Amino acid sequence: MTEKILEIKELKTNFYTYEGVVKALDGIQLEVNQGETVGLVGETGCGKSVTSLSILRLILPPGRIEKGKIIFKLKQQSRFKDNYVDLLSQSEKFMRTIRGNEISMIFQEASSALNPVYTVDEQISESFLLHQKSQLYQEAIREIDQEINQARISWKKRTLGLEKTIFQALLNNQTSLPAKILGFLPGGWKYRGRIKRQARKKSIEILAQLGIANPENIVDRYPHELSGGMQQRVVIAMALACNPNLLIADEPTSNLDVTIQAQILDLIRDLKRKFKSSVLFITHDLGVVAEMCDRVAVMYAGNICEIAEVKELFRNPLHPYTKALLNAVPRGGKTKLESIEGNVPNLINPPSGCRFHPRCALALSVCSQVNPPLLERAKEHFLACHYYGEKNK
Amino acid sequence: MNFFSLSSKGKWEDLKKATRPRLKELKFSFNRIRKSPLSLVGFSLIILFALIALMAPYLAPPKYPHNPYQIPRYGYSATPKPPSQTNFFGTTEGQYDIYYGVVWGTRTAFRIGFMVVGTILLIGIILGSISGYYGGVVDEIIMRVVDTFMSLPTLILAMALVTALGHSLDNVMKALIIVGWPAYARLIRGDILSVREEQYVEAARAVGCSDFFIITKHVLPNAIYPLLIMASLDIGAMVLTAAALSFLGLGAPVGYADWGQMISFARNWIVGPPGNPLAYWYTVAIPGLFILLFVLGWNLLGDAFRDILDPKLRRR
Repeated sequence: MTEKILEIKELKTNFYTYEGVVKALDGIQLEVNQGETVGLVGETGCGKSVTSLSILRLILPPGRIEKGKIIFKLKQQSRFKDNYVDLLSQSEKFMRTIRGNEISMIFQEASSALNPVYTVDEQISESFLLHQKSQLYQEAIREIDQEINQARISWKKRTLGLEKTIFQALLNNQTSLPAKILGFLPGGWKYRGRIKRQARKKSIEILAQLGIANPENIVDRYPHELSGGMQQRVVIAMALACNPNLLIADEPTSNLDVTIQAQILDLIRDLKRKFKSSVLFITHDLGVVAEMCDRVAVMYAGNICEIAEVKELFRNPLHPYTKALLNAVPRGGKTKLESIEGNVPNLINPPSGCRFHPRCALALSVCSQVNPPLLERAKEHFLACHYYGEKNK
Repeated sequence: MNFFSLSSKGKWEDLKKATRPRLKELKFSFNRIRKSPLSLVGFSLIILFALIALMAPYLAPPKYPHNPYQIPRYGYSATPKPPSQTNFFGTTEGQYDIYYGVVWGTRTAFRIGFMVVGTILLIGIILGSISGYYGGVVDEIIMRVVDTFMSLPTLILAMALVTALGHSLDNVMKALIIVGWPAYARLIRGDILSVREEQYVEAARAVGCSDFFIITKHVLPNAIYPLLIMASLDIGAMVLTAAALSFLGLGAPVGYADWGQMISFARNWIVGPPGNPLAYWYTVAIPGLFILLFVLGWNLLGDAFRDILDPKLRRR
């Protein structure tokens, strides 16, 4: 029995620009099940990245999420019924506990997603320090216990004992004012140092899990000292640091060369299995989709036009856009590349009805008037197209 | 895997390992300074002035211990006296000792430079980051205030403010702060505008950082270097402006050790009697030389900072 981990219902996101309202997402419907990889495919500018940012509620002004529901299942016990929560109705503060902890994101360009002034260790530790304070405190207390056992001198034992009581107090009441002040005070250096050492240990662990040779060496490097593939791995490590329930990968391999690309894809697949998380894989590369995903959603101009299992989609594409997209993939033996006639529509004034109809060879008169709903046409195969419905009447 | 072994030796080794790259970079910075003679001159000048300021009680023992900044007088005659055994640099109008004035004036100069630029930096960084990071209405309001300040001539606004607040060194500093912060706020805002669009800022947001944390930890460290360079250049410039105000008689009370005032004493003695125009050169030249070298020192130091801090110039 697979349970839904993410369910997007009727999501609408608009951007209010000087030229007009850009209707970037027009009622997206998408589901992601536990342990599943869902691919999100489409041309540039069709709203893939906006979808991912909307899920994390990172849409900045002038953009705004107009309506819809994003129902997400939390991994930890919470006050919500069955741990299902509608992210769009929560406060910004609550969202901060979600980001990086429950849902995290792998960014497209690793080189610019890493802050140039911090070492790898400091960047990965950040998510531990933000979301896993209590575990860090516990480990710090454990470390102090060990040190107490080994300490020979009595005053050292006493200071360590004091430190332990401080950490226990912090563990019991993390948001208390003294705990916050301690982080800023000069005397708090020692306390922060210990916590940071714990976080560093964890960063090394996670880098080792990613199959990076010599992680103790890598953690002290700055991003510019690493190769592109290595940078992407560090970004993945940052995303996986807190073992998120859902991982959003926004074209994680588009800037890498093919051999590194294959390595990174293998890595994401392995890690998905190891960490038991689900992946929303955003890409425009159908080859990558075929390799990585369980199900695929095809997007066009802010709409989802087809969702199906990956084999089904490649064997039996139903939407004219999907067919054209598959036709446009370069393949051996093909002498001429097919392209889709026409241009991507301007989302300020999208075509009425089905947004694909001006470019569609099979367009009917109804297509220019009514936006087709997403219906289940075959088993587990959802489609938004009038033509298919007319044909099979 | 025992880089956090509990033995003291292990810790020492860790520390050495951790500090090695930093030491290397520090060495590189010093090498850069050593290789450029101008930065070397700048550093030497500032160190010299710092020594003078620190050693002031020994170089020129105060005559009035409760008020060491008061320049001692050697008589009440208006005509300056040339350098002699008792007054190394001579006396200026009203028989104020020039040597004592410039030595203790070094302290005043440092105080003006550091206090004014420090406060300006603080105000500029806070307002500039808020304005640049949040944008929108807040940005609009802060930037229009900045525009208003910047549309008035610096020196005239400072003069008006000092006149309104009352003549004293503290009020000169306040006036310089009020006049100086808008440029800083605008500069840091511009840098923050470009940094906040970087993907690592979005990545930090996606990890769950709060706005305060993003500004202080991710945005500012990447945007602050131009501001620091400007600040180091401005320490000299602020002293110059303060001297200008003092020269106009708006600064420190009469007899207070301050370079600007030393020059203002010399106002009537710039040109000597007919036939001997350089008779009273020491009244202008000595305090003037101190101001010149101080400002030059900070300017050269600012250039050196730029060479060190700017990653693009650093490795050239």
